[in-house]
Amino acid sequence: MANIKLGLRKRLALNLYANIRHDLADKHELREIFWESTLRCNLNCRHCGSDCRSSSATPDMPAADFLAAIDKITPHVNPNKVMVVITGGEALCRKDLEQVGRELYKRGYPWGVVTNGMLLTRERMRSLVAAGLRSITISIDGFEECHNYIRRNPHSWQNAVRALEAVVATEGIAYDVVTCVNRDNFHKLGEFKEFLIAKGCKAWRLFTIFPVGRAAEDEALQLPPEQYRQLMQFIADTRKEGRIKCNYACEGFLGGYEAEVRDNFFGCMAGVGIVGIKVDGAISGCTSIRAGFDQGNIYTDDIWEVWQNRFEPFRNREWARKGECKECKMWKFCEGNGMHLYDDNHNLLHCNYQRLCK
Amino acid sequence: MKRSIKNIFLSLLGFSAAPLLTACYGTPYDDYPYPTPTIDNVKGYVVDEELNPIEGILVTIHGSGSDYTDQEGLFEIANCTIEANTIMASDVDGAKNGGEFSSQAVVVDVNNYNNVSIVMKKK
Repeated sequence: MANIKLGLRKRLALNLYANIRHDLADKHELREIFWESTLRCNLNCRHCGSDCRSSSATPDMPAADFLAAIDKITPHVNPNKVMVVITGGEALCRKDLEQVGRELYKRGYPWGVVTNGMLLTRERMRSLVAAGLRSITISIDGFEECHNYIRRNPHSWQNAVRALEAVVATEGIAYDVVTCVNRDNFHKLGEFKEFLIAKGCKAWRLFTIFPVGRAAEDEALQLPPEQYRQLMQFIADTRKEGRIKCNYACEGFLGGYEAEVRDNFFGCMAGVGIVGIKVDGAISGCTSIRAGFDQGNIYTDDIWEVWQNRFEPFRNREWARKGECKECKMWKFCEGNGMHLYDDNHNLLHCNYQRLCK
Repeated sequence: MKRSIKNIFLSLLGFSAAPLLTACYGTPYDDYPYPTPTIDNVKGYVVDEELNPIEGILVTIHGSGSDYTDQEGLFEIANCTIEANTIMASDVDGAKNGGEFSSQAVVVDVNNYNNVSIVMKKK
């Protein structure tokens, strides 16, 4: 069992990686663009960080506006190496998604979409692939009862599994299933793993809910510390087993579990290698980050100029060295956790390392 | 110390220097090269302005293939690529199919490539 404490070899490596992370921030080579294409959604999930609902008051960003922003970026990057991730709300609610994808493909960008699966039939999957889709993630939060409880829809699980079958049947696409682990589905993770493997699923990403949006209102969605540690061990054991690729989500420095539950060391890439364009045009590090960290807007600013010359709070995290981070011995390896875990007053909501230490 | 040397030392310690790019709400990272996606088959029908089917029209998608419409005006071109977004319909047999029709170009809609409709006008 991995210990929360760091061994010498890992500590040396983390020191080295801390250095590399600063290099990455200095260079800020753009590698990923998130587009919050809509806030409309065909579900009403209990854990939604976007607080999305079926009739969002905020209109979709016109495709032309998004592509205009992309065209500001294109001359400065190798688009083949910049992944565009289309999110929502539920991105498949957009009927012009394939047209946007096709335009991205023509410009040389690989692109992907995150979906709840409600609208992902085999036919739709085919049209997305025909439009240049390269990567897709389907949200499935365990077995039917638990998934439908979280998604608040009695048909959501069946649709999500149908979507997974359509994805698995499609050759040449990078994909994974993402599962939000909570107190309801925690004890069935082993069974669910077997279910995914039996379906032919090759990659699984597990995340724990961070307390923003609707998720902040429901304590049952949060794992207690003991279960959080058990989750880390479950992921580490599943990775060693080698039957399905398994990763914890991107957030949090995890002490001795670093490099045991993910392919890479922790390091928030928002604003360092990732830019997000929100539905109202706001430019941020990723679309999960609160508005207080917005760096500009595509309707008033040149997004490339913003990427090159702003994003200071994302690239130099000294401002975050306060509160429980101020005296933390792990600061160098963490630098204040993921940017999406800060509230509108720039205070940290949650520390994964402290949760593991409890 | 140059970054490449740091990466090498990190590898020697048994760890990856690659940054964590798959964010919480992202998708698995993938970049070029990747194969040109195909649309399966583009299907549709050709009619005149009175919506009568026209047989014998040559329907071509540049770089993918071609087909002649049947008695019901239907055509099907297999394994088209994403670049193949324009269909050209040409009347190659003159008045044999009930008239001479002007060539028609139609852009394929990626949401509706199974039911493309082409209306041709008589010359």
